[in-house]
Amino acid sequence: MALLSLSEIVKKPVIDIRGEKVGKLADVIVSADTPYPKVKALTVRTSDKHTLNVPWTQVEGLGRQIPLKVGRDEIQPYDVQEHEVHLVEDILDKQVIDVQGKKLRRVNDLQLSGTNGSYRLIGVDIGIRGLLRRLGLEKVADSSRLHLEGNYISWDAVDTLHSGPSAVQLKVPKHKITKFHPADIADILDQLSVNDGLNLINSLDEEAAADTLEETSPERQVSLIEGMETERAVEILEEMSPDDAADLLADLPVDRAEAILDLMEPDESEDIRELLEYPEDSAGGIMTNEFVAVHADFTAQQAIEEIRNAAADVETIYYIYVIAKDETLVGVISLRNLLLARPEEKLSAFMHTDIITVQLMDDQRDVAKKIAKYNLLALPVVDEEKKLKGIVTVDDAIDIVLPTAWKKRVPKAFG
Amino acid sequence: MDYRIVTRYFRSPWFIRLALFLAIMGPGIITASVDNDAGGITTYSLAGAQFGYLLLWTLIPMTVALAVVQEMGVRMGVVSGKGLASLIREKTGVRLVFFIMVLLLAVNFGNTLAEFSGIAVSGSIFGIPPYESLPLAALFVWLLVVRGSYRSVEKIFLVGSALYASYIISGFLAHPDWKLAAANTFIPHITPTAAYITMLVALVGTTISPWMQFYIQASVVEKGIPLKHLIYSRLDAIAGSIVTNVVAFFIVIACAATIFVHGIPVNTVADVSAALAPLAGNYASALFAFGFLNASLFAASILPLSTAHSVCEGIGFESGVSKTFREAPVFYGLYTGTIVLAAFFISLPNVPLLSILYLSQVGNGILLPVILIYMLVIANDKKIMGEYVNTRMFNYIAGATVAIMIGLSIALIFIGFL
Repeated sequence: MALLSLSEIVKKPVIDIRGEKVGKLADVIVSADTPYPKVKALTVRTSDKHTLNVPWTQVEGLGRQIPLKVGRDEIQPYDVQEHEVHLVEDILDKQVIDVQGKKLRRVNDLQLSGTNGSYRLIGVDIGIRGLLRRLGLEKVADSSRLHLEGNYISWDAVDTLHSGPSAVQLKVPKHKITKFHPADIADILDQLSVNDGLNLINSLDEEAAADTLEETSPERQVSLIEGMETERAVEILEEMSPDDAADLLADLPVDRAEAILDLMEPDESEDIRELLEYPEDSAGGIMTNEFVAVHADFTAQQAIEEIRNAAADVETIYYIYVIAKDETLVGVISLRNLLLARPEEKLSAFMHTDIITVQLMDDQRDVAKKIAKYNLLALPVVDEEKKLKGIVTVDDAIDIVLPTAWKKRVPKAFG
Repeated sequence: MDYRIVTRYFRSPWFIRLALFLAIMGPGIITASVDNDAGGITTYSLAGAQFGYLLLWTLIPMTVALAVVQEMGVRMGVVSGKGLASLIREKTGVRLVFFIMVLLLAVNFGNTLAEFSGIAVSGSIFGIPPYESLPLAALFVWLLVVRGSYRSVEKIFLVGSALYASYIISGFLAHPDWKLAAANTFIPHITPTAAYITMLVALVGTTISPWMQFYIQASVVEKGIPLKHLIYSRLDAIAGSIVTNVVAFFIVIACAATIFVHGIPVNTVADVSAALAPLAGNYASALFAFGFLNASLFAASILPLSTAHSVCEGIGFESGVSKTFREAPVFYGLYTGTIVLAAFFISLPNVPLLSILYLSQVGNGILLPVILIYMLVIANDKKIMGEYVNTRMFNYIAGATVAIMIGLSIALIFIGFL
């Protein structure tokens, strides 16, 4: 088995069977359908400045010289298929996603392995050594006492990105990254160019796309939503929790936000419109209006039924809020107390009535403080008439106190 | 009153457009502001002090040149979503990018030295000795970026940009001859003396510098500006170019109306500030020195960061202040190293500052043509830019700009040898 670096063969002379120079190796074309793609053809830049794709079947081998099996005039130009990849043009020096490290990497070199007369792309060199080799300084690496190991990632563990002007929407391959946790996808998304990011987000299903967007920085959310089709944006926003969707819509230009709201399911858009009325850093701005509320004359059994029906749509089921006929908040029950109560017991008999609440316009930091002080999983938000308007869950409170990485990032070129 | 509710009331299209522009504004204005850094202000004041209103006419072609180059950078950033270092690497491979990055690092280190010397000089004007102002400034700059939050840093930068207005005020306080200033702005006066040409070249050289191209493109990429808002980014780039040169205009006339008219010899910004006090009043003098401090500090925070970012992007190291030191050691090393070394060098006695600044000018002169040519190549590449490639007309203007810039850069290097 022979191991070769792409940089060792690029620009090396290509010699035909009569020993005449055909040109220099310009690129290597591989098929993209296998985990370790096979070399299908070589692109040769001929001495008279033309390019010529030589099929692998007519190539003798790879090395400091690249001998062909045929004479120059017997070369049958290879027909490049749509899904095939040009290593120099498409991969070398570009960014790829390292699936194991969950990071973006710059490709310094590529590794090819030859067995039985055919070569396959097996790995990506992302290390300093590959860099020095490209600069013609590999000997420095060898002679220095620094231990410069090659740093390779298996091709199998790499996702490629398809860049290009956004007018050209390339067919998106199934990304391995789609199996990551949304927070990890968001980390990568924040570093990608808008176009690459769009390709990535469009390869996710709506639910995963929504979860990922929620974890992305607000500026990036806006550019992604702005860049996608309105229908797709609507589908994704419907999957997001209303408070996150409201924050995102508030950052969009008004006409675009309205267009999206108008296309959403009426009940989803109503929730969001309501949240949009409050300032971003107030209790009203960070609350969600998807919670479980039941009437005081329900029995424990009925309340549990209600939770079962609502569970799919609400943010938390650990607290059940008890409201009067006029929607004023009169009590709160933990799931634990509800399960321990006798099924026929009326809620009013065992609910807590000294409820900790915040007002719609209260500062978000005060909300977080209350949640921390009273060790709550969620805090109800009420208006002046004590009507229950929404709840703030503990995860949103943590975001206020411990902002995610992007929140501490400084603007421009600082990323 | 809540912003969201306000926006719901103002639905008129012009308002939406204005709001959008304000939201996207920033990269162009901030880059252009940083362009008037310690070196820039020194050059403009000397131009005014030594040649009066004579060189004002250069500001108009320089505005056009700056706008053309910045617009190209912004367009490349928005369309490709990638920084300039990335694009050059993807277009030409690692060797050229490595060469550019080594030069950029060296040149920007020279520029950072100039910023810190600006801090030392303006500190001294206010009676703060350099061994106090330099470490304080270095620490401030470092903490601002590494520990600052998104919002606070953005506010500080916007305030920094607004503080350039101090030059406009001191321009008015100097009671310039407006008629003469206007005449000289629109009608070129060329005197073929060596001193005049040297100053002309220095003026142009300080207006368009290599690192700005990396910075402005990185800014729009970072902001993630979508393609459909490209127009606002272009306006921002153009507005920034105009603002820079308006500030330059007032610096020149402030010095022309006072120092030049009275024939006082000056060589540094400290001389200029001292000379302004009896002629235009203490306010004008203090404002001038304060503007210089602001400009030096502002540039000293952005330059090292932009350098570290570009180098890491081009070579392929992790970068960004949202990463920890362990995750991005090269980035933090370059960033911290540049600041600490620059502050340290300037605080040494008998630093050959003029030679260092000259060398970094030469470096700028070598680097700028390379970068401008690659910008032109990339901005004409359909694979990268799609339908947003340069138009033919734009290529003529940009090509002429680049040719003139290259000619002047070479002239700058040669004049230095004479």
